[in-house]
Amino acid sequence: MMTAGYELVDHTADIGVHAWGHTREEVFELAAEGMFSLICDPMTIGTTQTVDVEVDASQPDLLLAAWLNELLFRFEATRVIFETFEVTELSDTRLKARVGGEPLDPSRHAVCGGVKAATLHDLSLRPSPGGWDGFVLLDV
Amino acid sequence: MRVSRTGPHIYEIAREGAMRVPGRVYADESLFAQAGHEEALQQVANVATLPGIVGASIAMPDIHWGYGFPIGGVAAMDERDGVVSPGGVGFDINCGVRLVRTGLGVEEVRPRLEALMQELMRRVPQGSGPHGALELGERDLGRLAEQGAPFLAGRGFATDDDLAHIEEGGAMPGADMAAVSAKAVARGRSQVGSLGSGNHFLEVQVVDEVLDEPAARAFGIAAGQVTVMIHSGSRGFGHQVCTDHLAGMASAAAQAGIDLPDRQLACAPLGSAAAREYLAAMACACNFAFANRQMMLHEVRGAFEHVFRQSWERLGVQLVYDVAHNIAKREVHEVGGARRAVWVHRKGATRAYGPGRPEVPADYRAVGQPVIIPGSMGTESWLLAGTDVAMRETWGSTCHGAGRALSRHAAKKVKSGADVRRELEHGGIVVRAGSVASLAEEAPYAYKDVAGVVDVVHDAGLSRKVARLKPLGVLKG
Repeated sequence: MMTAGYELVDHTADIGVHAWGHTREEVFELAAEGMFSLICDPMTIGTTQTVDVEVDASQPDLLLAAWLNELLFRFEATRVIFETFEVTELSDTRLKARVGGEPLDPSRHAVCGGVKAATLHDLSLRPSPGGWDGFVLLDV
Repeated sequence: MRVSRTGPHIYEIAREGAMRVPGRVYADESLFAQAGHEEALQQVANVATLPGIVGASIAMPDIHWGYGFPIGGVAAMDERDGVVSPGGVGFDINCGVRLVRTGLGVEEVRPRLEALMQELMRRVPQGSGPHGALELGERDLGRLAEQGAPFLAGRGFATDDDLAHIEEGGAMPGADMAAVSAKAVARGRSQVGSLGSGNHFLEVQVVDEVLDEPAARAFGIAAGQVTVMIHSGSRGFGHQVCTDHLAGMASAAAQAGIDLPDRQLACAPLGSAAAREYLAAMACACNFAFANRQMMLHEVRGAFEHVFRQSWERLGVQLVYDVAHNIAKREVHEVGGARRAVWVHRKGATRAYGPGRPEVPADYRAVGQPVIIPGSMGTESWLLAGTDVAMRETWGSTCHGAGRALSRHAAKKVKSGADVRRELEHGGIVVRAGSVASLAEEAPYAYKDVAGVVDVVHDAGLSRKVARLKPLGVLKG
């Protein structure tokens, strides 16, 4: 297995995102990449604007779900589709990040589906031999 | 897990461990075996551990693995000592179906079907997060969410007859925008009148066969008639309401000392502040969904007027019924000879009230509430009627659809979206889709056989077959 990456995990009605990396920051960034790959082919997205995002939660794994839900909210409320995710500050209960993307344009962007929310079912974030490992089940 | 077959269509999961009641799954051998392959049965058992659950943790034959509750799950919680769980409703609050009848026969519609589907695609936005048919300011969105579909009657988008044929009259009681976040408003304000993505669809159908003449007559349905089915929910507004309240519920459950087998079952005691706030916000999302489907009906009427050059009234484009299949509601049911107030959670299950109930519209009361079961794309859908058996056994509930059999990824490996589209069109079905790739995920073979699911609820007496509907045209998200 590569030292950092994500994979989409099959689930009957929904789709899981499994992300792993050297650091927790990497896991958060890759989970977001994985989630947006379900909405739009990332190869078709560029970055013309960046946004600063701040998220709080009561526990580290809940923070992972809250981060993804915050990005879904931003996408639907502003119609900006994101492709770059840089976590700039991370504690057990707070995350700061800078995300980049561009306004959704269906004539250029290959929209392939929708994500309703990150669920708490089987949610996990834990240390692994190579660093950190996270799993989030998405309602699609 | 100890499972025994207690009836031709009933499997019982014996109480053990933290389960407060047994589990009960309505299925035949084949559907039960499918449910056993995944975590769905464990999820039935998990729901049985929730405080205040009455009778049994029930699952319908379209049961499949969900998050928290299984899809196809029904549970009633005692009002005095029970809980409400957002996981028993889902993120797509009041996802549901409405069936529309027309005065047109299939032979009149087929020659103009391409034009009709094109016009429907133009008027009903589909796909991930696009703008809906109605753009609202914040205050008007708040009014819509508190008032439900009746808000649209004031704007000429709904008639009194429409409202009379929506579950709850299209207006859930207790809706209070004070419990809804600014984020939900921001996501929802441009989405009223939009289909969304995933398994949501709009189909033009023909009544293929009538199996219960008196009920069909009451519902205004006859063989050869063209109908329209709309399957959608509360869009980003509802998703955000669930997301917002789930976080608070996790700590509410911990405070109440409730041990959860799955965090997605996070819940709060009924009567607590967390429960009251969730229910007020959930009611807003329910109303958003009723209004969303109503707005799409308005656009469907416009499309028929445009293509057939007559008013929708003359074309007879009338609402048969609109039912929710992701909802929690306070209902009064008979338990052991006494009337008892319970909060019925239906997660991928449909209310199916029997004849005589005051909640059933007056013109249908003699035959029971219409139940609308969308099939998988391109196969068939069903119109059923609620029964007294459902009132006694399942809190007046029945199945909600075919239920997935293959994951989206597995379905995409079988055929491409373009191939699925070709096959549907080869079968004479006109297909319009926001994303052709998504067609593969929702291909007919990705779902269980809806006829098998409907057979079980019919044979078990939970609802009665009234009519089978076949698709002519499909609009997908």
